[in-house]
Amino acid sequence: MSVVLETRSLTKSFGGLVAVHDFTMSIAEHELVGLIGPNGAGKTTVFNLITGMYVPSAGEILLNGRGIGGMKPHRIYQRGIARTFQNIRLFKELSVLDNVRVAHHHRGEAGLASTILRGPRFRRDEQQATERAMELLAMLGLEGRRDELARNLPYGEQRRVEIARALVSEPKLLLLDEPAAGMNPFEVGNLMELIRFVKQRFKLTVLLIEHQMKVVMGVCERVIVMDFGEVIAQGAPEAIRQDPKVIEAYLGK
Amino acid sequence: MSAKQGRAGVIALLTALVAFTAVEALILAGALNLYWQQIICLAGIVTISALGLNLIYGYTGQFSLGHAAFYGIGAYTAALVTRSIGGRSPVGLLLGLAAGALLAGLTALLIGLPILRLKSDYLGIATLGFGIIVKVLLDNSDAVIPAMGGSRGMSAIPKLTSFVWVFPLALLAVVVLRNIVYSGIGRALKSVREDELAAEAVGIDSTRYKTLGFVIGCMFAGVAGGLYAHLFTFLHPSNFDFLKSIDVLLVVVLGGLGSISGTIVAAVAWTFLLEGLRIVLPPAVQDWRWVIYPLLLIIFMLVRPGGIFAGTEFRFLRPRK
Repeated sequence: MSVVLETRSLTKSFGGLVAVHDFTMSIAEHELVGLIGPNGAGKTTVFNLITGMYVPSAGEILLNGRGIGGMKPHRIYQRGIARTFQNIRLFKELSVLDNVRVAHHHRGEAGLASTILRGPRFRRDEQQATERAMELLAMLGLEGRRDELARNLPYGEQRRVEIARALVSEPKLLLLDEPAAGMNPFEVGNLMELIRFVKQRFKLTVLLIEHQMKVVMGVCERVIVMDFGEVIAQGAPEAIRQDPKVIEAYLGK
Repeated sequence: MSAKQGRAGVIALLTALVAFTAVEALILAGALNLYWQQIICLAGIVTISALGLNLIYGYTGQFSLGHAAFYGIGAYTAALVTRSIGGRSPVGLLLGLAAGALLAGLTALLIGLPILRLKSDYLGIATLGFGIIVKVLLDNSDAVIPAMGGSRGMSAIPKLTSFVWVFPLALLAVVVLRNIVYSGIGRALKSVREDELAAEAVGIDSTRYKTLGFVIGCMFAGVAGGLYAHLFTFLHPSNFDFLKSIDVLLVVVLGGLGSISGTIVAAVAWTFLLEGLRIVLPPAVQDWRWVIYPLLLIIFMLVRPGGIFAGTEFRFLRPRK
């Protein structure tokens, strides 16, 4: 299996604080990998580095063997890495449909002139974006919500809209930052099913941050554990559970 | 829904045509004196300028306090063009307006690239600073281009602006803005307003779209300025100071951020209110205009903080489903 994402000695420091240090990992195609660790371990910083929201202080990030470190976030998205956020970041005053359609915009061909004149390119773009977005909304059971403002949806549905938005332009790699945060056990069950489903359906590679062990143990094929910005262990979920270093990181000596 | 919306569009267009014909007939019949003709034209000009600011602030979320500067750039540029061409040809006005819009847009591009990285209040202050610079440059413009008159003002501009020009251009501004706002580009602009980081995370080049919105909005101001110059035939730098930027901002907020209908209604209402009070009030209390009108603003914002239209639109301006 080919490697989709690779980081080599990735390091990020904020002033004197080293948030991520010498972080090396690789994720193979179609893998579903969990990234866990205590609060402040640097998990979200790793996500922000991979998606271009932070510029690495040192080290490399490779997507399909090509360096993407230091690129602007929108370029990285266009290369095929999509993400969701820990604290859902939808476009609150836009409709559900528009939230998803906007993520397809970079695929469009219509320029300003075609848009103002309502030319054939504009109409084709609009039709494609709408069809694609509706397809995803239907898949996630949200088609009835298309005209609702995103801020008016219940929490669980907002999460799903965010996932639909991340998937609309068929990314290779999906990063999920604590997708189960704030969900009740029933919703968590649905979410796990959803993650497995979209991974299959879109032939995705998934990296997810999660605190709920039920999710990590339930869906992840491999787990990477971080503490103080470094990888302290990795392997199969069951093995990780027994690892003394992991137990120490969470519970102390 | 589409048919219904299409019909609404046709009805709106017919209404516009009827309104245009009616007003123009009144003007030709001599029922509206020059003073009222000016007020009507001014309402249209304010509409165009405010639609531009609504694109910048209401739709793209970039707080600008420098709109009057771009209005001024458009006004002086257009006036210089028509004066150098000479005569009273409408082609001259068209060229002047195009030049004004272009220079306003170009300036917006140059100033926008460095300052649009700033957020909200900081951007407001930077655009305010730019507005002050333009005002000072206009005050001293005669040192470089004597025709601009510096602080004495620029005069002898041909009177070319009339209702026949203002109305179609205002209509065009509405259609152009509507088509931008309800499109992939429009959604990109709005996503930047809602959450810049999330917009970047879904492939939107936020710098590009902020600049695009800013440049187009400032071009609207440029056209409006050009019309203004040829309506009053005299320009003075004080017509373009930062208080004038506040006036446009007020119209946009009053109408409702992100509402085209609101901007149109507020621009017309605001222009007529200012003049209307002048007529209604007895001469002795004329100065109270400047108390009554701000008081109305305060009350209005308390009662309806979202603006007249609060994010909604007339049906003919709504997107097709």
